[in-house]
Amino acid sequence: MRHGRRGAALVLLTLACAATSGCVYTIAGANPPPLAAAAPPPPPPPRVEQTVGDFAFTLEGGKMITSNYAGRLLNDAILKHWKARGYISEATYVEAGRFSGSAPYQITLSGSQYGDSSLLAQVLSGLTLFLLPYSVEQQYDVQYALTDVASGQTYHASIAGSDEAWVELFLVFALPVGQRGHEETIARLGDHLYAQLRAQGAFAPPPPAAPPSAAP
Amino acid sequence: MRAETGRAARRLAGCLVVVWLLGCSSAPAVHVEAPLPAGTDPVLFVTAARQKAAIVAALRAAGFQVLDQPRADAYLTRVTVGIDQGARDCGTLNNVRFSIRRDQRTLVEVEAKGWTGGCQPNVFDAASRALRQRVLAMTGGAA
Repeated sequence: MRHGRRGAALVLLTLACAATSGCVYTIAGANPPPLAAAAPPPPPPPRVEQTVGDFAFTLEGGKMITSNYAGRLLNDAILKHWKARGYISEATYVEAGRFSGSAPYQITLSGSQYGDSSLLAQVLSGLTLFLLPYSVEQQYDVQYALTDVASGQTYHASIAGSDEAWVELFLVFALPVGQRGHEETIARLGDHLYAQLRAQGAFAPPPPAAPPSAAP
Repeated sequence: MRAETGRAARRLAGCLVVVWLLGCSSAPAVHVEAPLPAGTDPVLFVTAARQKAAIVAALRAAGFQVLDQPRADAYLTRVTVGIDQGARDCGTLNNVRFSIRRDQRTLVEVEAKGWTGGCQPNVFDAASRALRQRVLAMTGGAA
């Protein structure tokens, strides 16, 4: 009886682990390479409205989430990094094509994401209650279109990158650091996108006001 | 009896080889959902999470102008490379789909199956050529 309860608890723990993706350790890919952080704009940093445009997500072995939701997760993560860097103060999600114009900048993410994994390894891992590991390599090809509401000018940026996630029961102990590789990849993607946009003149501070001309 | 069994086994093996060969590749099939404007040669920007460099090279070799950075007037060309169904030293066997899109709508799409990477014949080359031919026929451009 006691063994039965222990077994049930173990199964529940395993399912909880899997459900919360806690048994994951991620490793940043080689691309894109790290980039030094750009200088943030003068305070206060601008607000942005963000949405997901033409984005496709494919996961080998099945489609667990929709393309739009995957794009939104990716965009949220990149813009969270921008906020931490001080590039923006806030990012508000809006439905595609529903920009309100209340923020000075509008960002549309598009691109592709592909989750590369062995279906056989996933099945074997599931059958062994995640004692056998499997990995998923996520490959990203991301484009940003940034519109400056005041000037109406649109800037474009593009970057590709990847990371790898290992799933295994005992990686639950890596929970505090398990997402660091993914976060590193997101940070690199975000830094490259921001640098490309800045190089084109986006997020430039407004020109200083001309001094009042002296009265004749 | 034994000879008949042998003949049947050989026939079955022959059938399996034919099925395998047919299943390895399929000619590109082009679908036009909405025509591209006549008299223009579309400029493309490619988004592809897998094998982007090889795809861009194949499209350029077929005659398309492909941008390195997105631009407002470029057509978004999404290329999806499906699950690996076979592997050789030169590349993998995949279903591929090229979709020329604008405003989140597919205008022209080509689907094919074959060997990717550095393999010859190459499905990226075949799909790009088929797409180019159809686009030229549609827009009236010169090859």
